[in-house]
Amino acid sequence: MVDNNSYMNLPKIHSITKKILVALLGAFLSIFLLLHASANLCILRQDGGAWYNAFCDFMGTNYIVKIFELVLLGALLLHIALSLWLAITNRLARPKGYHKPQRSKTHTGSKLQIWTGILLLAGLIAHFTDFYFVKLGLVDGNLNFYEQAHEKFQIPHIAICYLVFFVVVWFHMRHGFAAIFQTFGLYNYKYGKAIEIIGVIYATVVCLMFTAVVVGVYFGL
Amino acid sequence: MNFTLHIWRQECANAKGHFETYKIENISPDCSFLEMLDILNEQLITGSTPHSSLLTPHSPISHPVCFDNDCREGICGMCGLYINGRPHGNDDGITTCQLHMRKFKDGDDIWIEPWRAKAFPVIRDLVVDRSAFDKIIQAGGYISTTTGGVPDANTIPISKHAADMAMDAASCIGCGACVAACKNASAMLFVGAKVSHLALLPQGKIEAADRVKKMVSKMDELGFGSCTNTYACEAECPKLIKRQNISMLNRQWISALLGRDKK
Repeated sequence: MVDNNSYMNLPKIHSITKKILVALLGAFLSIFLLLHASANLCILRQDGGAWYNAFCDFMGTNYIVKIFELVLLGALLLHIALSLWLAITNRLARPKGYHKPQRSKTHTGSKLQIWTGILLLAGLIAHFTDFYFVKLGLVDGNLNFYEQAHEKFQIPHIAICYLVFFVVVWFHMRHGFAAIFQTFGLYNYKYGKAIEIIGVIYATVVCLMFTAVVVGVYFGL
Repeated sequence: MNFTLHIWRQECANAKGHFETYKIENISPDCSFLEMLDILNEQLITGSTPHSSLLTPHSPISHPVCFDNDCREGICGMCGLYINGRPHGNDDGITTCQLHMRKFKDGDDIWIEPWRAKAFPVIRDLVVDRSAFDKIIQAGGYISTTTGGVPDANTIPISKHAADMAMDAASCIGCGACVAACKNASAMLFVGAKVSHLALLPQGKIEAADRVKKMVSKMDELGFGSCTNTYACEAECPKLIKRQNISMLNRQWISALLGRDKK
């Protein structure tokens, strides 16, 4: 007979639960990125930053947004922590590797995901130093983010760094989008290809929106 | 055909292993990979094959190369070698015993390694202990009722789609290629196939939630990694088990966590 209690003494957070949490938080962060990119497009309006600064004022003063900000930060930190936890556990699952490198036909995105994630973390710290930490008063800088964006994105090496950052975001999101559906158990062969294509489109649209702002500001459009 | 074989040799589970190099000649292109190893072993026993430890300064091991095998027709799942960077070698949908030497070029260097995973410790040479899979099945991969005699095929109506999916999942032979191929040494495809083939059928649905909890718990306990959606498992499975079974496993897990089985 099946022993109903054999799993009760095992770790409470199982590997699949961790994966589901990472996917859930990833989905939340992906939606936020679309909102962030949409708001950033206001920078390209030829209104001296009226719309963008009004948006920043709203984000900086509304209490509901402030609570959301904490939730977002928590989601980001938890996404990183759980991903690293999984990555370490996965490394431990094969203490001795193969002599010959793997030649199986696989999705490259998955192999790169932890590395693109680490690059994203480094990029995020730089991005926060430019903008978010200025708002919190942790770093000196211009609190007018419209002017701050123009100052930063007109410096060539900073603009190039941001463009590289968006490429990394694209790779991370492209794999992550389809992986979210697989992890939630929503993948099947009928819709699998469509999910992958929508993921590529979503990642491309979001990254192009971010890119448009940096390129637009750099060339003074 | 002539080949240079680099084979992992390890005296026992606790010994430090190393690669040894063997020259083998006049192999028929129609020879299977395991038959080629049989020929090598015969030559090792008679002492007619020159070999050396090129990579490490070990003294050559004289006993024949140990490797798992049984049916030699791709149905038992016993054989399993990591050949030139791919479990079961350079072909799709086959086990090692179904791999033929014509898949290689004359004069090729062939690197042969055992499955590498914490849950699959090496016993000797190319033989690994895959009893971890048995433990996962013992944890819940069955239906705990006495089924009695064979019922009439139409007694319980099952849709063609569900029956086909269950049959595809049930074709898993538990060879461990999914674990060997996965960069995380994850057993999700194996567990997914076993969970799916029972959960898709009315007889197995009743215990589905309990089963998935126990099998996943055991999988974690035994030290397998988790799935990061690389799908090397799907690419290397000799029975072409699909990644959809991993999705099904995740869905079963979420249902179990949400207590939908209590309805």
